[in-house]
Amino acid sequence: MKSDGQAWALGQMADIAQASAGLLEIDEVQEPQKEGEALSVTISVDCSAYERKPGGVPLKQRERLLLQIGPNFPLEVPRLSFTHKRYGDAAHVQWGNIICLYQSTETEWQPEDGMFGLMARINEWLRAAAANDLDPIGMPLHPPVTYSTSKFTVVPTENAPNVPAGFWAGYAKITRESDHKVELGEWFEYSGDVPSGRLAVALLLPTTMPHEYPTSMADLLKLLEARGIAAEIVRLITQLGVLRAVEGKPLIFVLGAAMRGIAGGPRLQHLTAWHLNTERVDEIRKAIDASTDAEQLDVAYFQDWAATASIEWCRVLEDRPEIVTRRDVGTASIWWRGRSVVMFGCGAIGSVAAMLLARAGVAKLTLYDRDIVKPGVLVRQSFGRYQIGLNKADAMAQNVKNAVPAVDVRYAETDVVARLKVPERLAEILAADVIINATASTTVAAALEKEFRGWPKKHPPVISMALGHRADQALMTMAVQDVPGISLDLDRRFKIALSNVVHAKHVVDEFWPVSPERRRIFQPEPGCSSPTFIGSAADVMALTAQMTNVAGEWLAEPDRTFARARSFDLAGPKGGSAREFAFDWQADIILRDGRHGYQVRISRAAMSAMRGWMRRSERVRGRRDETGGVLFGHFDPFLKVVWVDEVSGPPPDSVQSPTAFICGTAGVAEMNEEKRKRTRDAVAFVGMWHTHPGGMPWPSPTDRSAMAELLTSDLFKANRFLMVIIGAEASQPIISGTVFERADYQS
Amino acid sequence: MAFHLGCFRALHDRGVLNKVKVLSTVSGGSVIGAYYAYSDDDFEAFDEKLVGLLRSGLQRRIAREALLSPELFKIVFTLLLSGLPALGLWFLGALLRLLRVLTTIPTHPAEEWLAARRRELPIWGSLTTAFERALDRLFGGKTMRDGRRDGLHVVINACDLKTGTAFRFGSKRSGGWRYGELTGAVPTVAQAVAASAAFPILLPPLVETFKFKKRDKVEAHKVFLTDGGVFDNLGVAVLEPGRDGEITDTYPVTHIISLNAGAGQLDGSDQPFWWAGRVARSFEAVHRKAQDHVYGRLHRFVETGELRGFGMVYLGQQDVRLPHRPPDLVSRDQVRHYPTDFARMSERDLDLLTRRGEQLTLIILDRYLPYL
Repeated sequence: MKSDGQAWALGQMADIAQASAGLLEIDEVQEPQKEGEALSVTISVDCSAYERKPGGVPLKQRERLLLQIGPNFPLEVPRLSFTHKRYGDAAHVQWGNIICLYQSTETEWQPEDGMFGLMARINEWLRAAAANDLDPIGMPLHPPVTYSTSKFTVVPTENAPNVPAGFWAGYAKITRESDHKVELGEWFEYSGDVPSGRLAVALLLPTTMPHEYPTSMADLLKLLEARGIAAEIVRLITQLGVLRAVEGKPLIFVLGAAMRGIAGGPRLQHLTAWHLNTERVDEIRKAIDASTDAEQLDVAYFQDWAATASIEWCRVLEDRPEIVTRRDVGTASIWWRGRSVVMFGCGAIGSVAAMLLARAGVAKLTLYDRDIVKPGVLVRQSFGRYQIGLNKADAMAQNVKNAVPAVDVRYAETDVVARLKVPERLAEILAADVIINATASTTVAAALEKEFRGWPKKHPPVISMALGHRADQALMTMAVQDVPGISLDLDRRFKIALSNVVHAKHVVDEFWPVSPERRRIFQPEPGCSSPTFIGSAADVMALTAQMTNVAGEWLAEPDRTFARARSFDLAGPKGGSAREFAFDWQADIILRDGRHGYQVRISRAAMSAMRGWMRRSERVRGRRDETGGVLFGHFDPFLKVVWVDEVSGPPPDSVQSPTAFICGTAGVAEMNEEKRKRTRDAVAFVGMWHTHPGGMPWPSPTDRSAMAELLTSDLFKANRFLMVIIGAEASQPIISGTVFERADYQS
Repeated sequence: MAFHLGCFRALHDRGVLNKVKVLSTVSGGSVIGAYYAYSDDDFEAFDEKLVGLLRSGLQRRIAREALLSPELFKIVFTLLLSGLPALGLWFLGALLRLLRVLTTIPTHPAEEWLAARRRELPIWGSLTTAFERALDRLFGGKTMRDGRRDGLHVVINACDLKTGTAFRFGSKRSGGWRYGELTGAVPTVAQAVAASAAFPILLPPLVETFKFKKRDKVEAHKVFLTDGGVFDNLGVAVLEPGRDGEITDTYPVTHIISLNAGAGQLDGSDQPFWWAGRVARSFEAVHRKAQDHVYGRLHRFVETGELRGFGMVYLGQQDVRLPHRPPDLVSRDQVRHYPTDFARMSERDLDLLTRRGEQLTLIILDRYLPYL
């Protein structure tokens, strides 16, 4: 009646016995009587060679072991036990004689090794047991065993208190409760201030308990008695719990013993818990109520009950930080733990990112969205169908709270742009550790840019995330307070930087398209609905998860003097040319235009080029001649910002002298055209620069009259002109920027 | 050199030159590279001295060393006592070979004996050693390990014709993978530059016997060093990402700027039919193809992110393929036939070449390396 697996095991056992020269003998084989039964093999192992150390299992010269090999061997691990119960108190021996061979059979048991693997493991176990080495220094201790007899689950979430000599008695606050589970929070000693509300009682020992806990109250009391805890103490703690128990609710009794931790390290509390059902609680309460000094009915009741009661051990699922190592340890998510995050937009990106951040352990999450959940968005946004019609921020807050109740989640059903205008609300936003803008809204981007236009500025890092029109590409930027600009500014820089990379065309085409086909917007509903993009929940989650990870890495860097941008790509072929690009920028040179209040942001590349042209002029023409050239960038009259991204040196037809620089025009139109074409209109002519060698960088009467002439002429088409003047010399320049507008010269 | 000087001017003006950590040079570029690296002059003084050198040329200095120094006797002795016997031995060998082909008489052993004798003939001096002497005066007898400007790492690339492998003179170490690292006396800068610039069609190889250390074993080997461009015309091999530093020299860098004074595409007007023309053109074609492959590889490193940036400043660059062409751009056609024989340079050539170098460098920096 043996299965093929059992026959294979028996064959291997015979081979091992034959090769072992008497070290292993097969004493008895009991074949299964019917299909599905285990094959029992009793073996005798020579243990004389194992080194014995104090505290180790006192193995005899030969030990007899019973192997129970199931019919599905090797897809099930044979059960191994001693044929006696002499070592029942040893760690890793359960039920008196069953040997716990593997910590995790799922990963440690190799079916293809069959009985050879098992025998090697038995040999290793016996060696370690004899040498008291089953919990080697630095390895986690094997926790004791309680066989849960109740389906009730207890989840401790706060580190246990230090236990003094003797014992610690008190309460653990029940923070969440349902029919099948309680979660325990803060611990309170019985003699101190005890909060109202639901409490579990707790008795924590500074000593160990046997590796297998008893199933009856009488046996448990005997074990506690042996550790100096009188039954009277257990009774009193139980009664304290009953008196504080809410009517109709069970009582949870937590018992702790110092049996957790790392071998060689401090011993932490191993918690077990039993459950007293509501009927029992009511009976104990009645006994207490009926007791008098003369007739202590409650004592008698407890003694009667304890003599016969079996313990309903609960399933304890640990969530104490001192016991459980977070599964995201060492990952990019770790930065988010304990942070305060403000999220603008709870759509495709926001709804996924909010949940990722909650699981990463953010302390506070403030969600903003003015839109509601519509049926169509359920395809890729993390809302439930029951949430249709709810505000997205509200719905997301519920989802976060359900998944990770510890997060202090708040929401506002509001327009972000309006929110930024209210000083108190703005202060709340600025108090966050990071702001995530997941709106993909140009209005929000412009509002943020306007709000933080001043220089120097003060705000937490602002991460902006956006998806491409098919959700197969994404862009993310991080604005920091040491570098001017928020998402609008960084998007512009990113566009220019990508335009300079030949093989980044797919990113520029995606996010700054020029073809009419690509510019067509996708509207999921006919009529005047919001345009959106095409993409699945899988695409959105994949890209958002990547962005969240990279954002965590950026934020974890101690030096935040760089603004950053990065593209993400799901669609392209893997390998070969890079499909994803990352850039970073240090602060620009910031000038303030005194005429119209423009802020002039001169890129470091442009500044370096101007200084290069100055050095060239000093080298070729001497230190006295003025030099200059053309400025290329962009004016934003709403934000009152002018960017200077690129510059030229003096066009060849320029006139340079110690008293003037007359900028030529040869080749300027071609240069302008090249820059506009390359950067898709992000960079174009904005003005001119020139030097005042050894002088101050203020516009001279000649400069002013040149501007008047230019801006009153029909030949110059633009309405404004930036004049940058660099005084002193190339090694230590002093710079000014002035914006001249056509309106200044119109009467 | 004039083109490179223009490039250096632009790099200096942009503040990039003093950020350079490794200078890897080949062929004619080794002269200006070493001249810059092994000098303490400020840029203006360096510029002025180099312009003086270009105006006067190196040819006269080489001739002076060849004719008016003890080098003359070495060259003459080499020609008489080594060159003529070598020619005679070669001629005898050729006769025996002819005899073998015509009569099937087994003359192999005799041919091999003659070849072995030819290899034993000594070489005392050549035009390349005269060149080395001229350079040694220029570099003041400095060795490769002597002090460099701003702690620059210098690698001067040559090629050993005997083993067909790269031979690098470095400020850190010198040698090649075949024989190992040079030990004993540190080679001079002049030796390195002469070897690196000994263009094989014009100059004989520099023959040196060095002590090499490889796997704790020291052995002496004779090397025949010629222009490094034969092996790696851009000299970037030591800078390329992913090289195993255990086997060969490697200098991990983030950006590479290649200054290449090559003339670029052939115009197709020649008729390379006769021996000298076709051999020279074949050499040139292989050379250009190898260079294209290296450029392709460097661009690929940027595409895959292994290099953060690469700028190619190329004298022979097709002007139409530049990101933009300033109105005063010195065109490729104006300079592509410039002399490369270290002769004195006319003011016009000097001006055009330096200006093109400067203009192209600025265009490439602006477009591809703006944040450098």
